[in-house]
Amino acid sequence: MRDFLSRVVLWRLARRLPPSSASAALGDLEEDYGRRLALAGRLRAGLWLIREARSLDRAYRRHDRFKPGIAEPKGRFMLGDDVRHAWRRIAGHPARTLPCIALLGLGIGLATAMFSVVDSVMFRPAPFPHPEQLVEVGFSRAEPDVMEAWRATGMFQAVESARTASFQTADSAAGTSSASGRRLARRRASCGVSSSGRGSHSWRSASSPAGSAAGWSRADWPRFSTASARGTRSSGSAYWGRSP
Amino acid sequence: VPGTSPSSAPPGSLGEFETLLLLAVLHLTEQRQEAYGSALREEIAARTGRAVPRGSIYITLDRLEEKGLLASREAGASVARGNRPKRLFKVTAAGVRAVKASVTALALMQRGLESVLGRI
Repeated sequence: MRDFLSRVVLWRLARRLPPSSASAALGDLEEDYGRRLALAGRLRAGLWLIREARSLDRAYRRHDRFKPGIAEPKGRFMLGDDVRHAWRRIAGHPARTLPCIALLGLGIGLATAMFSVVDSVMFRPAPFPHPEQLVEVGFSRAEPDVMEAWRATGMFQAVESARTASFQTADSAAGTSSASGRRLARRRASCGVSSSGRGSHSWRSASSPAGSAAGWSRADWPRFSTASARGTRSSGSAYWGRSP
Repeated sequence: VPGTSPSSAPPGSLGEFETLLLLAVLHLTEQRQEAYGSALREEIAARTGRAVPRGSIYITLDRLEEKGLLASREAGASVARGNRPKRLFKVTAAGVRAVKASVTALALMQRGLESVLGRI
């Protein structure tokens, strides 16, 4: 019973089966297909034929794979078999699989976090011109007289403070937080160089005298200042001095 | 024997599916029917209710022939088969001995278990 479908399927299968078994196996398949065609119709018989041909092909491929001395033919990838096998193992032992996946995820997350910290702390230089000259000279509230005292020592070209700050934007105060509002808050915070009035913050732009004198620009500060649009205030300031 | 795992089968012993297949060939031969791939598959399905994959049948038949427990010849090409011959099998004397040993081993093992297994 040779129609187009059976010809194509059997032709493909004939190329894959070992010659010793191909003739009889294909004859059996074609005979059974003819019987099924008469009983079940063309569509069902066609689907059955495709299924049987795939099953036969897979069985021989699996058989050849474990036969000693037989190399995998070129162009035939067993990835599908491997994936199917892996899926069956996973589905068969969920209680064993889930802890493994969780542990794997934890390990990858931990390694990523560690690398991120090491990368930013040790490998990447600070985003300043001549970062090797930058030193941290203290960490407390940025009192103006303390700052002045540091400046007066003459040990540094400049002494400035950077503050972790947050803003209450108009959006967040009104109970909304639009994306543009959050962006604005971040941008302002990222250039925040505070020379610190007592209890208040005076924000300077890049063209401020202190900033210019220190040779720092507005773009120098983003890594030392962060902000959120949640309306909270943080309390620490770091003093940064630039050595001569 | 030291170094021998308890699960290793003695040489010449049959697996369950090999035994089934040899018995199916014997049945078809006894009924004077042709014992070839499709017929064997139907015989096993009819007697055990198991739908055996087609590939398993041919691969096991090849293996049994390699072991010398089956012999085959080609005959019966027809238009319905695309002018391809059937591969007809018969059980050799060694095959009959192997089946007998396998079936006997099973019978001996189930003896005394009628209360659990019932009469088969």
